[in-house]
Amino acid sequence: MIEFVLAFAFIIISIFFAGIFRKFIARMHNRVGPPIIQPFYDLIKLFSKKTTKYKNPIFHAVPYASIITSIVIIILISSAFVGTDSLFDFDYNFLVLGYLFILVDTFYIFGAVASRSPFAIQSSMRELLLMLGYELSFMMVLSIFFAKTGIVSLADFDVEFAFVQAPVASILLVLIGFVIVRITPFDVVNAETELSAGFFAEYYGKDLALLEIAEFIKDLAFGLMAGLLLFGKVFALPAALGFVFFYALMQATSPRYCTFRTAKIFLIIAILAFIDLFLLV
Amino acid sequence: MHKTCLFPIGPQHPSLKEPLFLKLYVDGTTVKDAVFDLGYAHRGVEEKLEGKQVDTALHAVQRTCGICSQCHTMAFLRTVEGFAEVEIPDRVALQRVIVAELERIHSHLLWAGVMMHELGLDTLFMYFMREREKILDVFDELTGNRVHHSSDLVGTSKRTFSEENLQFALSTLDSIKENLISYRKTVDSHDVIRDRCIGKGLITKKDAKTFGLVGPVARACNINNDVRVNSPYMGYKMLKLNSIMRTEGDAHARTLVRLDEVFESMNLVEQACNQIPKGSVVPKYPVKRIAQGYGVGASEAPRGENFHFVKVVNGKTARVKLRTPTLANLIMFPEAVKGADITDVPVIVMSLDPCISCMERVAVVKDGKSEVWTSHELFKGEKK
Repeated sequence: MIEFVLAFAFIIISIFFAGIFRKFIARMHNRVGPPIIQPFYDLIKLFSKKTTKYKNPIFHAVPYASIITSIVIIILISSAFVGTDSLFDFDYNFLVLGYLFILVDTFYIFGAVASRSPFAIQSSMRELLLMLGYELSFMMVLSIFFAKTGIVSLADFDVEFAFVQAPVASILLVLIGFVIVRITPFDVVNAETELSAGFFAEYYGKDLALLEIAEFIKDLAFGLMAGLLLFGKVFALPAALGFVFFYALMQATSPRYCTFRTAKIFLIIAILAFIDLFLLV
Repeated sequence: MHKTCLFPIGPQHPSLKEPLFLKLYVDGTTVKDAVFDLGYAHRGVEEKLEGKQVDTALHAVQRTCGICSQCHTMAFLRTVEGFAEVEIPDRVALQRVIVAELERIHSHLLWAGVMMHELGLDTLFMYFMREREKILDVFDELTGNRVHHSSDLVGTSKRTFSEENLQFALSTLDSIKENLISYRKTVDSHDVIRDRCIGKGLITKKDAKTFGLVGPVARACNINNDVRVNSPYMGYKMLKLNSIMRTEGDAHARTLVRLDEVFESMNLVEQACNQIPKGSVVPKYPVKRIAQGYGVGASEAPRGENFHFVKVVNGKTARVKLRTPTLANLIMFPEAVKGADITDVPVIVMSLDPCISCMERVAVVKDGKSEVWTSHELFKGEKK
């Protein structure tokens, strides 16, 4: 039961983290920026709007599928903090976690194609291209951490500063985070100046609010997971906040690579992850 | 055989700062063909300038563009003062140049900021805008207006720039120079910016000549068509000017040409401030009435040659034709994006620095019959 309470707290924290991210970027831009609770105001506004049903049913199902998957992700992450008493503590649950991250993006692709917007379709094409590189490397990097420590579930992962044991995998995990959290220079999937809102181009109102919450949760979940793997349970939440600042810094200081250059870089990352895993085996 | 599909950019899109409908026909992510649809910001500028007294027309000409207001003023005054044989004092000529060069700086800084936004580097966008804001403060100090300066009249200016005004301008330029040097260094050396810009939107020297391109776009292809150099006017006759040229012809070259022009314009402002005759004032009264005449004149706007034709009959303008630099460069837009990846299209279009609202024109050839065009037909550019 505790993991559900913890997951709820994480969901609220994820929205605050989105506000902190915006505020930090604004300060980098030499702006005052919005208040930290601005994402709450945005969500309240979006929920208050009417949503007209006029598209493919898949289009309307995707926001619900995405938010449910994101909530399952955050519950799984919470189970790591609860310990072995958790309902969600089972062997190799880190692999399930990895697949759930990819599943959220897959739902976005379904929604994008169902919307028939040229921007969303271009966005989904880019996501599919990048998935070839980052999906496999993400799973391999997760496996490296657990293989090196000999642990098989998130709840048992009580190693502190594991990045010392797996330095290459740690760097690769942070790089993969750029695509998962959609940060420059690898945010080609929702490049605003080319694709407008990318996947979400046709979404508005409640559907968009659900998708935004799913994104906030996914971002925090990645930060918590990376914090847990790199620094241990005690430092996971501060590390997640640290990742918010790090990614905001990168977002503010780096321009965007083009699609094919990003795909090439992630192919190299996949090869490095494979070599690291191969050497371990 | 591959089929192409339509990828629309505009009329409203985050990569566009003015309404323009760019229809890209893409095969996968490669642009096979491009069509530009205009008409969303048509204001009928030339029609509005007809039948006005010269000083009233000047007032309207200054409002053709919000970025190169002074350059329109200078082209119009060069034409009118040319055929009316009005001599202007050195102080007036240099004051006009100071405002025009400050305008070039503010235009290029605005452009550089937007270009960085297109590349995803919003921090540099904000920093460029911060420096530009200081130039707008200088306009406020010199002319009393931040955007449409409206500082000149036929044969004279509305204000005499005081010593304090000029010192404020020079100290402001000094204060932003160091930052701009570091921004330019970042733009020139940043790996991602180089990766996104080098070789993108390539225009050869031959193409630039064939299509008659103007301004920094042509100068990035090693064509020196700077009106200030080839046909010096007003205060430029008294100043030493170096044309900024590059040979590469791509988006990166166009970026560097504009950023280097900022420093050259700072140099010109400094020269002009130092050469203004001490103690002189501008003539108190403008030339009130110009009965008739016609002529052409050009000025070098931030985007290139700004060409005006003015015909005055019975003290009123019978015809005013404005060819803005974007109108000259527009023909190259579809060619520049053909074969590019969709990712590069906003960067390529922005590197050509379009200014849409002052370029929109409609030509109706009258044959004695009246015609009614709907707004939709105007957008499409053809009558059903």
